[in-house]
Amino acid sequence: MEKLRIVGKAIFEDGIDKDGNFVDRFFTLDQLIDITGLSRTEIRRIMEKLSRENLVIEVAKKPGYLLLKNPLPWPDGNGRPPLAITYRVRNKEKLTQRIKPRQKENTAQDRMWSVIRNKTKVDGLFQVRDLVVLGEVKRENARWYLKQLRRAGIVKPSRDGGPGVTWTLLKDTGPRRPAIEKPTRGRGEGGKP
Amino acid sequence: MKSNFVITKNVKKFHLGIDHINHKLKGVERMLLVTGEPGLGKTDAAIHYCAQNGAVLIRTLQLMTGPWLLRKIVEELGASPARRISEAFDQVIDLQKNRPRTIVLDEVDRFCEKTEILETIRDIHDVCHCPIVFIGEEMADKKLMRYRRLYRRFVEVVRFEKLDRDDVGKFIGELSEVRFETDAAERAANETDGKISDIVTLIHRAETVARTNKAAAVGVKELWKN
Repeated sequence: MEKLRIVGKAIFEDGIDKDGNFVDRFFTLDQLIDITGLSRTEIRRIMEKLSRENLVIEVAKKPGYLLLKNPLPWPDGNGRPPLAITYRVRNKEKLTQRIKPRQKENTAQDRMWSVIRNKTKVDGLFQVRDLVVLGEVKRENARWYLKQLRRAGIVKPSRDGGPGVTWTLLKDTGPRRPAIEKPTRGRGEGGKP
Repeated sequence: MKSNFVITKNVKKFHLGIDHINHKLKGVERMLLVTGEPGLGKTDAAIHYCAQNGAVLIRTLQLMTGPWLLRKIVEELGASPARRISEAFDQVIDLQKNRPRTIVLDEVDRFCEKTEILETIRDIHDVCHCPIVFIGEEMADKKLMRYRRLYRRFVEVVRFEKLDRDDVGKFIGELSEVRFETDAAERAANETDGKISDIVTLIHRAETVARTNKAAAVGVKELWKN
């Protein structure tokens, strides 16, 4: 997972009450380090980015050794002391949008998905040729996409192979194309030995 | 057979019609009516347009009612329809305001008698100012003419005609793997009567004949032996 998403998830996890609702509370840099396990530098960089985008706001900043409760260690007093920074979520909706996985729009997969759904509405089934002609994609791409959808249990072919195979849409997940996991490569489950 | 989307004169007219309703002028209507006999590629042209432009295609059903259509539109716009009809209508407006998309309604003949549906569509058009395309059979415009308030909102009526000689030639040229002799192409235009399904069948036959004879081109003699 992308580091920004990990931090974003941690912010929301930290701000959730017993009933599962997000409470607009404060959180500190060290809390995020504890939850995510990422380095202080990485999290500072991400939080600066979120601050620039006006999604979180820095409300307090002081040297960590000055904290009354659990002061941050400052080994040998060399260099700059680690900072204890407190943040607050500024815009919950936008932060949610920012951290959720984004899909590109108007891609070849979008076009193919649109053709699959619309052809199914009209004829009840579709062929690879429909995706190539109406979606204006390459035959190889259409075949690969159908293979992925078949693995996910979304489409089903009329038979195993040969010319003139028709496909049926089993699960219509809506106008947004279903998220397909990228196939794993190399050793491991599902990969080549 | 090659896998290309052939831009015939009908498809050009269809795209031109949609261009005419995709304007930003206030007070100018944004509805388009597409009519034509079955098998001329109206729905395929619409599916192609929707795939390339992210438009919404709704295939209307015989049993469809106003609320049903409204919910269908909300679903196609990517939201979960609200329980109440009034809320579903508001959803359509909100969704179209956030991301305006063309709505294509196929088989409009099904609801030519249903005032409730027609008035709902008119309301959506008037409130959202979103482009709406109606696709129906050849008599759809006659049927819709009775609803004057709706009919006057059609900026244009696009009629899908049978493919003419040039279109048939273009179709064969772009789809066939084998070359048609001039006489064969002429006869194909006469025999198929400009129907796409017949032309496609003929192309398949020509390719089989060419494969059997190991020829690069086919003429009248090979194609119409009997």
